[in-house]
Amino acid sequence: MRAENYQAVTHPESHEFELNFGPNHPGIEGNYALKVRVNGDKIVAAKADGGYLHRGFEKLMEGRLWIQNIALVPRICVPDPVPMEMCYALGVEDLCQFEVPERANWLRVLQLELSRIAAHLFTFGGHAATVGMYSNMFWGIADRDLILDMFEQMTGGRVYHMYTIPGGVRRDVGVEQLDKISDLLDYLEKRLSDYDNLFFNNKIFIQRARDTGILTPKQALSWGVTGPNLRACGLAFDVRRDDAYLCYDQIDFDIATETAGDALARNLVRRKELAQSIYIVRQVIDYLKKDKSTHIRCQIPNPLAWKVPAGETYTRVESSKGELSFYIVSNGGEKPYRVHVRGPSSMHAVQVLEKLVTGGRLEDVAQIMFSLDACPPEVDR
Amino acid sequence: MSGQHIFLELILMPLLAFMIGLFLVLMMRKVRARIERRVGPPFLQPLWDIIKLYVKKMQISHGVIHDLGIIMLLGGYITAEVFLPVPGMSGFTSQGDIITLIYLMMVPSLGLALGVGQCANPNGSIGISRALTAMLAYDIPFIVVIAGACLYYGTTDLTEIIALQKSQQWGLLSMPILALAGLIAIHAMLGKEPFEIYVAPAEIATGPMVEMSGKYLGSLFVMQCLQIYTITVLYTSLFLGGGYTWFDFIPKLFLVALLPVMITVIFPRYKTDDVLRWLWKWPTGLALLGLAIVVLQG
Repeated sequence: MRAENYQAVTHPESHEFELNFGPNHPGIEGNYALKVRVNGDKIVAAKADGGYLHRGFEKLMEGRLWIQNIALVPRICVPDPVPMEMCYALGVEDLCQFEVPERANWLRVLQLELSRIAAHLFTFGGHAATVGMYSNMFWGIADRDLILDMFEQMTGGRVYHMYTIPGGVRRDVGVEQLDKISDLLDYLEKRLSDYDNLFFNNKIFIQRARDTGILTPKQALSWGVTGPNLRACGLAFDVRRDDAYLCYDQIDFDIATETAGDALARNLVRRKELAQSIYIVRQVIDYLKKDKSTHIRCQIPNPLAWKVPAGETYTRVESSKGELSFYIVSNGGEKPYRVHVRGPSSMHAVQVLEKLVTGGRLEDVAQIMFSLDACPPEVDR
Repeated sequence: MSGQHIFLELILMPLLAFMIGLFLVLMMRKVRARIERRVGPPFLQPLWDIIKLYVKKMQISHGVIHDLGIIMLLGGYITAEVFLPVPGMSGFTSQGDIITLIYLMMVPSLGLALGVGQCANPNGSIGISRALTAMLAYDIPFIVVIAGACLYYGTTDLTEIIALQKSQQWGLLSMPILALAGLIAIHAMLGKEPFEIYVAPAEIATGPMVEMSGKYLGSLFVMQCLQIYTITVLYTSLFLGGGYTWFDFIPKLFLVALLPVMITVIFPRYKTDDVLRWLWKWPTGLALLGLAIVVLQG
């Protein structure tokens, strides 16, 4: 207790004040901030303030070998790293004109969909916590951990797997492992009804999320919204179906949509996608069990002296957050000349978030951010 | 009763309240953790938390009013403990009735408002504004419940109320509607979901606690122990026959504290205006109905 602290505090004359919502705030997702101008608890203006996670991924990639970047790209999005590996690998394969074995494509879909399930569990757990429902958060994280166990057994890594490489995948997955995944899916399917009872059908949650952060289809299209956030506005666009990659054109699944465009609709879309992803993984397991091939990658050059032919390519995949794209330019050297990452959160966490929270109330800021499933490293990349 | 005896009770009653409060906090954290599929804290964790916070050196103070606010909130509950009869000790119960106790229970909220208001942190100010709104919301049904119970028993003396329940039947059986309304009101008083509007970490970064650290935060932890104890003892004395021995008294306290924690884990948080609306509608309605029944019964 120091004497200089015992001084009268001067308050601003205006009724409005600026409040730093982050970067150290329990309601912010990742290291990110919103500077909100508040009148009472009504938000009159909001400005996204990123950069706290800026490690310069795009620039770092220019200084590393093509193969070294495989270890770098998953770090752009911690909760859903597999699509990053996938999109980068697709780009390099396109430049090198690699023919990827069929089994590798199915193994990749297995990884992608398990990652989507893990990411959705993480997201709606986080969303629940923003409205004070911590049980759902802990349940979601505990169930996500079971998927991370599977990743560890399949790839050796829990969070960052570096499993997908240009030309195929690093390891095959055996029948025993597939059975374990199948058991896990049985368990997750049973858990879905628990989540429904606890969270998705909870009257207070519905009351809080309904009509909060409404996004119209027109706004969504003009602001570059993709993924579950776009589908929650009633627009059934999904890269997996509309620009099919890997073996998604051989897999049966529905595009989950809602029409309200609010925080509730965005969550319900994720809930439906969770069931769809389980359905997709089951089909993949069936295929992999029947397929007797052991060919999981094509012949790739010496990774330490690998020169990718000059050219440019744009590849996209559907991550759990939306459309993820990589624009890769090669000048024929051992390292990329330029890589640009278009993470879906770079739209959702900046222009969309700013507009949706403005005019709302302070108590809904965290909920809106989590309902958009914004991943700050994708903004800062 | 000798002066020495009274002095001993004045020391023992708040001390016991703190110790039982610690176990109530531990139980609530454990139960909550098990439902959330966690292990939960070890046996002495609530005590270690408080000791750790109290041994921390304070670097910042927000002024005299802030310090006084903390003293008020602790003082309010410490004083309240000596007006709550427990097995073997009645303290000042005969000098101050339940009305005095209710006044004393409001002092901590006002102390918190004064202390946090001095910090000039917007999150803290919003938190306090919400806490006072919540107080307004739960105090109305709570006071109606107290009024109904006092009318039924014909006294405001808690010792007499306990004795009457011993000779007749528990208040829970004779006034079930008032007991239910009281249970909802104490759930809101404990600030558990869905009424957890003034802590709301994701909204206002823990509100009143945002500028508290070290000894100040430690004092809030002590206050939490005393608050849970006070509320559970009061409810037990009004509706569960109080305690004749510690062996039947303590299980009742744990049961009363267990109910809110079982409910809280399945609910998200209401918005501030929804808390006001809900508490003025349902528990207040129930309390008024219970009061009407008591009045009509004569």
